[in-house]
Amino acid sequence: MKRLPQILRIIETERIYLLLALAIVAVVILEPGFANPLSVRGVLNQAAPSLIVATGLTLVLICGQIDLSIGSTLALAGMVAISLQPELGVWPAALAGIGAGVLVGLVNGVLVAYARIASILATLASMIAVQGIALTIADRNTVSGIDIGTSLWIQSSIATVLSPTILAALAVVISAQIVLSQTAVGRTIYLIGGSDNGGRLSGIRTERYLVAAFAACGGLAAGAGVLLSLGLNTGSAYFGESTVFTVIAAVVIGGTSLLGAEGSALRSALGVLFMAIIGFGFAMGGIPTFILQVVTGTILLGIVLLDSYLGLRRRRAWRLRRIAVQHEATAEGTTA
Amino acid sequence: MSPMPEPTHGPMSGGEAAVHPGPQTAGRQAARTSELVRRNGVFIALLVVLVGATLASPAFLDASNILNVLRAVAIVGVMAVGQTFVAIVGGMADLSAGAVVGLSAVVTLGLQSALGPVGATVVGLSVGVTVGLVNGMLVGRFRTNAIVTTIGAGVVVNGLALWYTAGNTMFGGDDAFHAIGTGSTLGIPNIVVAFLIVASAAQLVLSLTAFGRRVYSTGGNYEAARASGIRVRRVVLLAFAISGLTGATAGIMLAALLDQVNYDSGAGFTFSSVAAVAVGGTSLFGGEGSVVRTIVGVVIIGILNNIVVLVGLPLNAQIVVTGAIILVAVAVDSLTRRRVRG
Repeated sequence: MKRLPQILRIIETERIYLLLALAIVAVVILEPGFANPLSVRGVLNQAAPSLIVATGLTLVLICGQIDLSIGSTLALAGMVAISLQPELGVWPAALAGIGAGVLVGLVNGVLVAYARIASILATLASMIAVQGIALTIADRNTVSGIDIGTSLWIQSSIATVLSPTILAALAVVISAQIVLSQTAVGRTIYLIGGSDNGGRLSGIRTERYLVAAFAACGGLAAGAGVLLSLGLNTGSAYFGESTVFTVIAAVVIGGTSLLGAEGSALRSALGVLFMAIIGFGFAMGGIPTFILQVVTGTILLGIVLLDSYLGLRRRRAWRLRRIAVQHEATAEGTTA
Repeated sequence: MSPMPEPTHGPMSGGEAAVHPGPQTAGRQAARTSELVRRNGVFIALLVVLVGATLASPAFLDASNILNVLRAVAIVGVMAVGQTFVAIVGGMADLSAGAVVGLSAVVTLGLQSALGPVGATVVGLSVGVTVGLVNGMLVGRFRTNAIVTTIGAGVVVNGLALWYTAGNTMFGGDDAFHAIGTGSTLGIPNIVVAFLIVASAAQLVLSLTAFGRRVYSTGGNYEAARASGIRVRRVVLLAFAISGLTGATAGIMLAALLDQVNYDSGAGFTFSSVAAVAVGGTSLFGGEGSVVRTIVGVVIIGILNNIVVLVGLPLNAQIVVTGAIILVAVAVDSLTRRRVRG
């Protein structure tokens, strides 16, 4: 009987690989049509914006914070990028959209790091305010882009299974993963998420890292919004409405915790892919959307239950001690 | 002064640090003023907003306009009452509330022809309470993360509502039921009456019953409350069940008011109801706050939205203003809290 917790623990830590493998096998068996490059590109194109949003959110979550404004930022950036096209041209307008998102992120970061407002409250406020701004831009209407060529290009085939959109998403995920796992900055972020005090007491300027994480999150949410809007050649203030829920769900299924200091960009990305694949499988199989929702919600509930049953907090404390030791070692190495 | 370690301020922490009296009297005076502002700020804000609204538009004080303000916030207000319990007990927020509103509303209208309006309403209420109990079971009994749990429950509930309606709009068709939703009692719209009844009952439960005291103790210091013999898990469970009940009540009010609803009719209400709690000055991290504060928060948001209409600003400005007022409220709360800590 002692075996059971051990098996559960392995399932819990490796869950995203298991779930992803299961989903792929199930979809391939049930829908043999899935195993062709076109469907793969379709799924990846559709998942790309969420992959980018999830990466940004992961940075903030690892810091032990949350950002509820990602959906509004995504919508705002898309609106800006499309509605400024006639004046600025396609790419400068896209940059303006991303800039708007970075700005939102900076405001969030300053509110959390310097005004010391709990992130769930600060980003709840900015979520609502930014949504209002996005709605104002075209007075609740959608706007259409001027350049259908770009719109077709960014989802067009590169080496059959890829596209510019997909490459952008992969680049974001991979670079975030490298920063988080291979650099001192990455270790510091985990340390901050583990204990704000610990970080500050060991001389880290916690505030700057927090502002940077929120700015990155805002910028990435905006980047996702720009890609989404360019791909559809349409901007709408309603695009990001369910983003908070779906992305938080995907990220948690992937193994990034809302308690901070747990998870990685890679895991979050796999969580998004898992959701995209089962979504695609359900759509191809003609299974009604409501079953997909019930299944996703139930998986999420199962996972939080497993997390709390296995004492996520204890495991997290252990991991943090290890990171702190590594961090001290690096610090001593640099001063010596 | 020795540098005091700042408390963590993550989404899962925050709240109370021990009051740290400063050595100088001036500092103590400032701290006391800060504390005063923090405790009463929302009531002062209500006065300011009332006076401002009256000056901005003479039409504001019309009885019919005041009723408009209340009518506009009644449904979100009922949800916010439940969110207040969840916040005080330390559960942060119930993000499934909007989905519960949608499910209860479609069930209430959909079952009317089969069960009659009373039977359908009872089923609609039970559905919401069931969701609340499941949330409470998970968060209270198994100590799962409340935000993720209620997001998950919300997705499931939304799926069930979609299944039940197959994506179609549900129509009621019971004239008496619809008349209650749109009608008035003694000149006050019935949904406002319902809001006031729910809010008063909830405030009485919080301030006069043993359960109410346990909600505060559990949210204030979970371990201490448990050590003193409070069955903390059950208190948390009940707080979420109450949120399910108020969500369902809001759904039934919506159904009675409109007599036609979609599976996602409540989707936009979730964050508004949490916002009302925050504006009122109830901490999402537990231990303090009240339903009265939440009502004041709801009313402030309602009045500001009303002014936007009265002075002829674009409707979208309502949303920006709502965001700004939440920000001001939480910023004042956070800054004065810091002063108190010295």
